[in-house]
Amino acid sequence: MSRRCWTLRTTCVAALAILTMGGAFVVHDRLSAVEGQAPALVRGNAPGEWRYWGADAWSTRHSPLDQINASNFESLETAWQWNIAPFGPDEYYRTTPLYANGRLFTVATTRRIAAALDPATGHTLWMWRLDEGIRWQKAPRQFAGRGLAYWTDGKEERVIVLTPGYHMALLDARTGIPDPRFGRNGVVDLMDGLGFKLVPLAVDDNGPLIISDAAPYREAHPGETWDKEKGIGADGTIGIDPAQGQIAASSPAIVVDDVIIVGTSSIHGYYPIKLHNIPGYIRGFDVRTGRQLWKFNLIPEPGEFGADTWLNGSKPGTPGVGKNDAWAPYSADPELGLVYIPVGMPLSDEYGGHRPGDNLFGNSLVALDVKTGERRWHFQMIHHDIWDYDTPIAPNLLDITVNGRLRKVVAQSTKQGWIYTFDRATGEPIWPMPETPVLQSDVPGERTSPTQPIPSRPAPYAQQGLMEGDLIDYTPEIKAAALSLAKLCRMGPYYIPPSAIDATGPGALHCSWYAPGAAGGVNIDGGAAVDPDTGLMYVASQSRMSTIEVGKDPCSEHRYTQASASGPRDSCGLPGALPPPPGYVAPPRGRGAGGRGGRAGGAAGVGPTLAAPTPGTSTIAGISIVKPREFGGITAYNMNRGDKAWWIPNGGQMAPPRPAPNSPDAKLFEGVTLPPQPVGGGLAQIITTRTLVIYGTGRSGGPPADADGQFRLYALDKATGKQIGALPIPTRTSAVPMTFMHDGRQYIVYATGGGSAASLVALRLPR
Amino acid sequence: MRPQFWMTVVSLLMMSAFAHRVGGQARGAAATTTTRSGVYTAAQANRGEQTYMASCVSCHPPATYKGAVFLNWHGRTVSELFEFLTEQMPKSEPGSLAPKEYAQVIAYLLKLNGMPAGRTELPSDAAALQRITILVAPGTTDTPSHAGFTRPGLSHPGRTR
Repeated sequence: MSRRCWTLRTTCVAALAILTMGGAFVVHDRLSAVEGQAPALVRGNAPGEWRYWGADAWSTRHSPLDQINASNFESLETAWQWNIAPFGPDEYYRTTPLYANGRLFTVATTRRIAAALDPATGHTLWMWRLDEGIRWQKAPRQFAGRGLAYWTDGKEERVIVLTPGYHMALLDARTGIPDPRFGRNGVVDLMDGLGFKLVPLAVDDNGPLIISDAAPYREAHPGETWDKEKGIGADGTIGIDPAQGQIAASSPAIVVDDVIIVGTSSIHGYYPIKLHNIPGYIRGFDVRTGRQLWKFNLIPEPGEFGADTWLNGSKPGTPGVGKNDAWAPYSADPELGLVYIPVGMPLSDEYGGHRPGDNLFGNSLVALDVKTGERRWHFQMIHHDIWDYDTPIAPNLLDITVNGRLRKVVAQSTKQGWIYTFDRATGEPIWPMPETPVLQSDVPGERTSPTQPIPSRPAPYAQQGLMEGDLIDYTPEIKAAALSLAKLCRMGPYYIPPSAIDATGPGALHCSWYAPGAAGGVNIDGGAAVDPDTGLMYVASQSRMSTIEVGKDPCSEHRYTQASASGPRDSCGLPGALPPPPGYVAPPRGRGAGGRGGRAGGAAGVGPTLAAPTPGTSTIAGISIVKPREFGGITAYNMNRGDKAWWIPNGGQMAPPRPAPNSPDAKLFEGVTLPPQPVGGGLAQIITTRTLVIYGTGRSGGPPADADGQFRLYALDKATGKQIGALPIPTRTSAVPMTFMHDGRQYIVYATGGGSAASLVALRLPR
Repeated sequence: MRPQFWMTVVSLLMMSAFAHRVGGQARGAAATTTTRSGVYTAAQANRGEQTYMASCVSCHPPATYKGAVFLNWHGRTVSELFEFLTEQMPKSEPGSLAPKEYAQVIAYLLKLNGMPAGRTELPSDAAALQRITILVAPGTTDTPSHAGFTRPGLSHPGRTR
């Protein structure tokens, strides 16, 4: 048998499973005996458990538990740490585990191992993974992913894992053994059923897919075999015809009643080479058999509603058609029978000249009937996105009272810094979102939407664009200096279209201000939690500003792709890229490269200065040209009124910034008292309990540990935002934490680290 | 003669050969050592891995900075890479890492590309880094082999999913 002969090889670490299966059954039986019957579910979750990525089907990230509270938060101690290194590396560990019926479930490593742990000890109960051959090797999302889904009918329990190679497995939650009644021996090939031809696959190299779509696999030649020595060739794997593009999933499925809802995730769209990719899809599957029940096309095919928003056509394979993948987790209202899909953007991230039109259902919130997959309503939050503003996080469902009227709402936080709030049954906006004229692009071939919907409430949580009034004005000289830098790139209130780095003509600008940037606002690491009891919503965001520009990659099929200050992207030489134009010489990178002619200005170690300004520089002697405001960090909204309730920076620290002493521009700030601003940014990772907001500072957020050598987990009074605890922890959180009650003790579990040093950490109170 | 002398000669020859091969980009005239000489510590690279996973990996999976891709920096000084990173990365907030964090990330990238660790940490100021030339040796990396993969450019973004 060849090394990778295509079989669904279950790597249930056998000895471990045999040793632990008995124990698992004992735990389950004991719980069943004590409880006698299945607990009443609240929003799809058993009280004290965490059965969904976002705690419950509503993605509240809320637990009613209160054993850990203001009086004892700082007494928490580490119960156990589960290191994943023995099982393999990961990127950053972005998983939020589930807790159900006495077990903790998680994924880990780039192979996306599914595992069950003993919540009290962290001992591994079972593990499962699939050898997917070159489908794993070239997977667009080759990491552990965000987690799992859980289902039970009160008798049987199942865990659903979506693999990096785009298979779906249904595992017995007690044993980890795939359910043989589901799909083929417990596994469904998710590449099947989308309408694409499946072909034998082969590779010409032994490396991964390279950002964005270079070095993919290809269709195998007839009779091609596996070259074990070189690690190339055909390994017996089949998949979607690689000429169509790449597809995967990085977030868990969501289960509503007996339907598993599964989406797709594409490769990044930063620097695409190919002019098309596989569209996004949402599908429903029967949890007992794995049978596909329905499919919803996130790029409507010809004849379907919304196809006319693709002026060059929307059929898969059409130039400009691709993505609109809903890669974030989803939310659902089991009572209404609706699942809410936050949809990402179309191909490519910052240039839409190949896809004129509004590009439905890109950047939309789509409500689908769980049973049929029919669209009940949708709202497109951005028409024809060219800012990489994928909808990055599961929307939050909550019941609130607006103007004396009970409203069942769904609130979508976004990269672009606004919350979009709708009646979740009808899609009616709770507060007006008028279509508002916006700046238009001058990039050749680009046709920007003339308007975008701008929510009137609540107010944004991140800097919007850059206007003169946003600039620091501590002295007239400082204001003038800030304005001089600001004017080097295109300014505007929001949705400032990218500039072309090769733009010519009088007054041509080669960069545009980009706030929020591609990382949000809100992004997958942060997002929002709610308090179902009060209607407060807590949004973790960042407020950053960079620039956005596009240029011609000589070896890409796209007319423009994302560029940088150093010049256009250069994909030449990458497998799968176009050959370089005759005589093409790659430009150098780095300081002095001068992509748009500005980076050569600063002296070594000092950076750009006012005397030698660089377009896109947003600081003077290290001081931001943007006035500090209550943006980023954690913003609490009273959703009953659509008002901000309170705000804190991520990590709670504020301090006046200090001008860089070695900068010749530091003298501008002599004698000026600078206002305090947050120490550290990044995306906080929030959950709520009966009385607390609990958060970690995220993988790159909050104050640096250097101050006292410690990272911390924080607790806030959820009504006021007052910090009531700051618990030293070994390393930063890298994903949203979760909490549950097990054998009478409340635990908080969070993922941390990455690479060869990722782990889960469990905290609990001492006895 | 001392072995170190020959190592230096070989290193210089290799540097010259590679600089020629990648298009004469070597600009490290002031450099006095190379990244083949153990210019970072293992602990620094480990910290750099964590910084990389925290701030870089969303847009730059390690494969985008390994092996043939990294040849773009071959023959140039570490100072140039340091200044490129500090001025332009992360894309969402250029310059937001501490200088020593940028140095840690570079240490991690050197490790990724098979350049050895030593006893001294890579410094975090551009002037000191001007004395170190990046010298990539094909065949010594744990890079996947990409047929026909000659000289791809870098990627420069900043986001997540």
